[in-house]
Amino acid sequence: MDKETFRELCMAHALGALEGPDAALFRDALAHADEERLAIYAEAVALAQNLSLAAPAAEPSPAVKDKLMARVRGQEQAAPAVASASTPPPASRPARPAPKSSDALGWRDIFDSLSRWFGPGLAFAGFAMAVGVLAYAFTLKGSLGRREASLEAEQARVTALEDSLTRKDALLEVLLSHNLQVAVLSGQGPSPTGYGKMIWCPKRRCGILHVANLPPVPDGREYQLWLLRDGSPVSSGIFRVKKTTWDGDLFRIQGMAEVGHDKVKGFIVTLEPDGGSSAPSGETYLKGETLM
Amino acid sequence: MFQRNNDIVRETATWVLVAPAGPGMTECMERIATRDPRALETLYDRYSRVLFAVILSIVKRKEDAEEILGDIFFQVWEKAERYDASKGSVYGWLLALARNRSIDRLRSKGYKQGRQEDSETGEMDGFAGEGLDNPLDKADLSQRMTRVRAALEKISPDQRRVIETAYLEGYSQSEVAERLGLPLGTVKTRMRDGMKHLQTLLRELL
Repeated sequence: MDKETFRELCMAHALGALEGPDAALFRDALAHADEERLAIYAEAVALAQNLSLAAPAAEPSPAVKDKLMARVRGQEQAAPAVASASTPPPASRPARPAPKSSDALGWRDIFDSLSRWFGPGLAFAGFAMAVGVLAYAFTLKGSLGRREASLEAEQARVTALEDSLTRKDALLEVLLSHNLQVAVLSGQGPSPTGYGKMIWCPKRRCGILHVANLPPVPDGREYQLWLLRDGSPVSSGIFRVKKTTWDGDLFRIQGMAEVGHDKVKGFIVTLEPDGGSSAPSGETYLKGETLM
Repeated sequence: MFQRNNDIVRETATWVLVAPAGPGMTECMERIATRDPRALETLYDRYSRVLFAVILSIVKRKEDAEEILGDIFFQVWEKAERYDASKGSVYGWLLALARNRSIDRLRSKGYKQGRQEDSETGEMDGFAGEGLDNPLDKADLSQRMTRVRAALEKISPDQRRVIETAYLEGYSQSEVAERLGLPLGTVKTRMRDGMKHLQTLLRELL
């Protein structure tokens, strides 16, 4: 299949309009596509994804989200109930009749019953064995519980380590980029002791933001980072600080605006309404120019 | 988290989420896979409107579109671990789920009849939304929407009609030919030429 035919089929496929023999032909061509053709395919898919934004604006009713979250939470609540099915029900649950008092618990009844069937000697041996098995079962249960707790702790540690590794990889990805640029941000009016630095790769459109000593944001507000493209601010994301000390917080930023290497003059951080703004509207907390 | 040996960096807070299809949403998917309902809410808030618009453009009936939307996000909740970031963006994945589910519904026999009737009785009234609440997303998506709609205006009306009927209404090439009363070859040509033109016009977004 020549390249133009492949491109044509890619476009029809991306639009979800390919069918019949053409679809089979395309699947086969895609399975054997070289890098150039895979790039053609990726571009067609990206184009179609953008076309989705041309659908007439519409909004689902809030009930859809409510129903979804209720379904999700209902499922989450149901899960532990299943997991704990072997544990005794809480006192408020009418699943079983309340046990008798310990006197009336039935130990004597059980012993008397065994005596009637097997005679006192055998009954006593059987009874002792049952008590022994019960005691062993309790010991095993305790041991199992400790092991489960230990496993959970280990799992949490592994998850934390994986999380840490993922974040370090992300940091390295930025730091190892070519054409890295740096801006040091200094505190402005409302945050004179604030400090920050921005390290980013214009080509990959990703970066690392480190901010420190910024005041905690009030409810309904968030910090917003702006890239200054030839002096004009372009949003690069919103964030909340967890620490307000000198070591501060570190953020990874992806999908930054596509800006030429020499076009970024610097960055500012402003305080904006929750969710961010389309243009800076609040006070500037940090500001800095590109160093290299 | 993010503990380094030299203690320069002690902790990271949340990642900054910027692009609608960016790795921020990938992390959101990871959190959903660990059964974090808040992450699902974040994903829903970010994409529900734009996906809903796509679903509605295909199935036409608001109640069906809402049912499909809810089902898709519940499917995401249950199958988040199936999302593979190396194969595409979160938005791309959600969009594929939305379109496939909508087209399945559209092509179910009983539905087509109902859909036709609904189209004729104009049940589309009153569905225009405001877009996204998050101004950041709004800024980014609204810019893209403006660009995409402007580009669609620049291609020929014949090409636009073919592309919109296929993509935004969920019809195959032969169905488009049937609906528009055109030869299949003409549909294919208009689709190809229109898409090539769009590709040129939207080069910067791709």
